[in-house]
Amino acid sequence: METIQLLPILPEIFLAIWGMLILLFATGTSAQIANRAMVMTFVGLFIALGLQWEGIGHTDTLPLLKVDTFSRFVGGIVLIGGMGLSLIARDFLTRHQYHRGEFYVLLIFCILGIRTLIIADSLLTLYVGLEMMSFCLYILAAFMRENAKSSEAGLKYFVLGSLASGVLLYGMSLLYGLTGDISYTGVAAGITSLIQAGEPLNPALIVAFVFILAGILFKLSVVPFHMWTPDVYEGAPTPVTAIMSTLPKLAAVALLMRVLLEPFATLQNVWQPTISLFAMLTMVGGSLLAIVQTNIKRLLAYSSIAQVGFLLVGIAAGTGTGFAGALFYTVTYIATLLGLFAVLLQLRKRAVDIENIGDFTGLGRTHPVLAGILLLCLFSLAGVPPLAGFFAKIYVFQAAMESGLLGLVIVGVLSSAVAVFYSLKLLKTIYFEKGEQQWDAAQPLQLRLVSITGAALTLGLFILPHPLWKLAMQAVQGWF
Amino acid sequence: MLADLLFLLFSSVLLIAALGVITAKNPMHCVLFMILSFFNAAGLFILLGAEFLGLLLVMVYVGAIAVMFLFIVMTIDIDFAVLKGKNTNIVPMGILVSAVLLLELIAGAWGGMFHTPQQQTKPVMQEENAQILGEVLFTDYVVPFQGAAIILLIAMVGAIVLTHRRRSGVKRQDITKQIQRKKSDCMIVTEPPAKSGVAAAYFVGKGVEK
Repeated sequence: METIQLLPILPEIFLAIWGMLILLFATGTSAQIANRAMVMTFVGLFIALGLQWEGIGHTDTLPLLKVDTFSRFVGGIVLIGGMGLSLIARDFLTRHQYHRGEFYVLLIFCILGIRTLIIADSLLTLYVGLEMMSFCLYILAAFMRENAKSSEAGLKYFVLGSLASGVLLYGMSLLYGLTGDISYTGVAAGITSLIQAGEPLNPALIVAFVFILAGILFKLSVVPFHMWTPDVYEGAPTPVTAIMSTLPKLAAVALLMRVLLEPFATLQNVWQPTISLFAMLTMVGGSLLAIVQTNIKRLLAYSSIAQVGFLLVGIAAGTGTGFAGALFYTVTYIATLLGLFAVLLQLRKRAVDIENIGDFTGLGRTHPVLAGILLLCLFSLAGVPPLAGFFAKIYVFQAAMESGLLGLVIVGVLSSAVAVFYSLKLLKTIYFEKGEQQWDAAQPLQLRLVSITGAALTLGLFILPHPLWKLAMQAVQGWF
Repeated sequence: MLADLLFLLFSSVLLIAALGVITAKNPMHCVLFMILSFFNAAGLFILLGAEFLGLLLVMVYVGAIAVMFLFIVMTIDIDFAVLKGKNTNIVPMGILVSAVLLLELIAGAWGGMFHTPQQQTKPVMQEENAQILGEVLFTDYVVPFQGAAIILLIAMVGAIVLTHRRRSGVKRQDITKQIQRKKSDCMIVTEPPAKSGVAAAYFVGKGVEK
């Protein structure tokens, strides 16, 4: 029996133990205990980041796992994003009397699931990681259980998410039946031998591929599978919406890349046009539906759908620059959304959270900094020049052009124009429309910190995109 | 020879119990029949050499799931008269579904679906399969195994977070309160006047003016 080298998966082991420690020492409803859980979560994620640093250079093979530069890059971003997310929830949950340690336990386990998903090297580990992530999100969506909308969001997400998991699992079982293996390399070899048999394409293989793809694209809320997104994002508590729209997106993108390039590498001429089609539908659908929204969380939901469409353009390009561009895109998107949600959590009129876009009047006068950050982030999502979103879009579109996907790029540029339109509409409401202008003043320190960091990253990644771009290129180097 | 007899015993009781599950009028009897069929299925597994699977069936299905079924049946209020009246409506549908399934089975048997080669019906593993499973689960599959454990933990945390609440008006045991209770808090010593009854004595004892 060979020994197992644990150093590369030290962060995962640590996160699992740390989550259980929080469960032991910091669960309950009292404010002091919940604050302790928050601090422990922040510190734990930081320690995990350090442990990951410690493991760099050790690429021993583990059973069913593969830790490489790609998983380290994505895993590191997940930990940093998780640190930001652990800070922004306290104020909102305390106001609604739901601030309790379990929230942070679920956040830690969600991050653990994401990291398991990223380092998975077999369909079994993939599924376990995916379910670990999704279960935490289902519970978090329904966290404010006496709120009807939150409960509805949790139930809807749970039922539809389970259906998607079932579809994914069915695809996996077909794939196992066809290839007789669950490891990525084994499946890839099996598919290659199936294709070499000379017949057109095994219909069962197509079904398996489509089912697995549908399961992953559901988690990404790509357009034909996006129906759940607006309702869940609107109903879930705002900090949970922030969690759902950032980390699981990155996880699903990383998973999609891995699955397309490892088990399905030989099917590239099948998946490339498929992903192109989905990218086109998602960009157009997300951008157009965002125009008619009146609730800011629904608007962000549709905006996030459109963003996924843009980063799918990079994946559809199928080249190293395309995949690195998609990774770069996701990172800027996470930084921007963190800033955006940290602002949204501070917006209150007469102690009521403001979600209706029509109520944003007068924000520019009473809170110029908040209004500035809000618009900065929205325009970055639209891809307007002096902001990070611009470079992100340039990278994916350039890669798509190099692969000859001109039509996709044209659709993408037009969709960005639509995104600029609804950002301008919000700008008009904030600065020029008349209405009630009494905004609450109290702003907790950590929310201000996260919103300013998000805005700074959004600006900073425009001025200095190169370090991140180099890291993203290194991450995908193993495949190209 | 003994194995064949045992097989006949287990499988015939299994079939009868399964029939009982769907024909018994009382839902409680249905659940008990189900438990009987689980036990016999476990016996069949053990005969095949899959003793771990058999024990698992007893522990998980009989020990946990069937007991949960029993609890559920106990908590719901079932009107037997209504149940008996409704049964006739679904009989044609039931016959249709069973007929389709029977036809499929016959077609499958005709096509040789159930023709197993002789060597496959023998016990698959020679060693104790609990040991073999344990070795595989804790070496090659340790990550998904532990991951599944964490998923179960998450489900427990979720169940508590989403359902547990402090109810008002529930009498709880408060040990500090119990210990601090004094004799004077709960006992009144009075001397009721003769022939006036206990109620009057109570009021007198409390010091209430007449």
